[in-house]
Amino acid sequence: MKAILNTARTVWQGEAIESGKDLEMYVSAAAICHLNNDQLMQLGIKSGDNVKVISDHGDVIVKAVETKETLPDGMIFIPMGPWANRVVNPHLDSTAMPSFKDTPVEIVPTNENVLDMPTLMKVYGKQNMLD
Amino acid sequence: MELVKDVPCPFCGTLCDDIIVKVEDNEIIGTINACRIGHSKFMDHKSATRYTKPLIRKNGSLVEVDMDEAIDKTAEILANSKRPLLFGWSSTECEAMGIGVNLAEELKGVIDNTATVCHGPSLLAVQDTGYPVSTLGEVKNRADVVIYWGCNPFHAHPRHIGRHVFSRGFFRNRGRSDRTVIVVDPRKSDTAKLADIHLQVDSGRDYELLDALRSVMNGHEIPYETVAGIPRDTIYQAVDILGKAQFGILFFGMGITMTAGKNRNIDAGICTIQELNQFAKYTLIPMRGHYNVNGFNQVCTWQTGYPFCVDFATGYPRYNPGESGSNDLLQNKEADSMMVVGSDPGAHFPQKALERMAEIPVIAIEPHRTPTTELADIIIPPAFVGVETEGTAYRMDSIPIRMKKLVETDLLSDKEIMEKILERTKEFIASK
Repeated sequence: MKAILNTARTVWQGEAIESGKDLEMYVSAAAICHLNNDQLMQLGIKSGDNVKVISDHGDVIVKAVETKETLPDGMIFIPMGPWANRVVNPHLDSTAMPSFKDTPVEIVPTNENVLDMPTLMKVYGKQNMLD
Repeated sequence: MELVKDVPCPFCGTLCDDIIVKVEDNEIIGTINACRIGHSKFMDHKSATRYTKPLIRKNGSLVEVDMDEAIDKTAEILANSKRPLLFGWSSTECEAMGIGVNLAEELKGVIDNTATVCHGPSLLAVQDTGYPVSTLGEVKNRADVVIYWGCNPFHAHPRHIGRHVFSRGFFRNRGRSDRTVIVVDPRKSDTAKLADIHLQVDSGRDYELLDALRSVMNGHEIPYETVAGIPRDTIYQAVDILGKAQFGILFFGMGITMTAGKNRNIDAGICTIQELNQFAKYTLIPMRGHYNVNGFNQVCTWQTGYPFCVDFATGYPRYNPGESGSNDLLQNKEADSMMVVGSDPGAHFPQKALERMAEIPVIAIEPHRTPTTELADIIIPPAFVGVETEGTAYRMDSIPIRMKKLVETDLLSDKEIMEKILERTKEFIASK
């Protein structure tokens, strides 16, 4: 299913970043994708199933949840954080500001697992700079 | 147990200053009045990793080192870099920021804060178009029309609506029922559910809607059925309410700073407020995120003349967002080292910037395990401002507020760490 990706804060994501980004609470709050019920039906999944979100800039596995803040047609929502930032449009338009909203994405059901924060960050392959 | 009253909360730019914190045996055991997020900040979750010793990544693992070694290595990395980037600053106090600007000048590096992924476009627009502002106190006491555009304070600034819209004010003694609330958001957000009018704009088409509002305000008719997804009659109704206000306020957020047009959206928003002043008193306040993101823009402007994205490469401050921003430098692979203070770019920069952070030395002045510390080579843990150490912070309406110290700690403050790094860096540069 094609969609545009919106990202922003949620109070749960805010609570999790202040509690600890290495906690399961952070995964539950930010490694999720808000969808309307009709979007879940269109994907043939139920709330709690995993989905893969793919853009021109990357991909990420997140858990689909039915949103309480109804989305307009064609929009999906991932709370701000390292999972959303795997796929957002990094282009700056000469303003120094990346485009964290309105990234075109493809969303598909998946059996792959959602990565926790430390595992997710390993995809960047931190090099040993001080050895 | 001691109840510490009138504590400012070090989470968001609302800087609520009415928190009561319960302290027992040098530990915070509870809060009163704080929102869900502020409460989490004060409570210091016991299961989360809290760093208390400096760490250096050796052979892929973090190893404890003493403070002198961590400072020494940090200064050596920064002094030996051609294009060091000093980023963050928004979750620390102003004195630490001031030393940070001095350090950037000493290094001929670049200093930037989280506004670069937040209200940076607003700063650009303010410089181009103007800044008709008021304080939050004026909003509470006077505002009868409140616009939340592209922001969701119900989630991001949880007590903002309660403190300034629902609350009773001097001229608004019935509180919420004396005010009309307009929310502009493509989602039926929790804030939009509280609105009298929800303008459900098509995402990324805020500029068109602002243009339509301005056209109607200036006596023109709209020749289309809808503009940016909003029916013509709803726009007429909104303008009618805006025009009948006594005191109106525009609060705006990432919904218009991050979407197509970016700073040009904010230009149009400011122009709308300026034009509304022909009917009534109108002001605006950006919904700043971190509790002291505004403070960095103040401090940096005092010291360099510019609020963020300041480049000292030529020996004097230059300012060119689009070239001297953190994401410009990281994504263009220009930055060859990075120091992060009071923020978490690992969590809040896009993937392309993080790819660069993985291949350059990164120093994190950070108390917790975060996505940034996962990419860091050196971690220096500071005391929490507003909890373990005091300092000054600037609220979203540019009111300075003194942050309190609630408990004792052995950890150094950001200011003390910055002083040590600056001193050692000067020695390295002098010896070269």
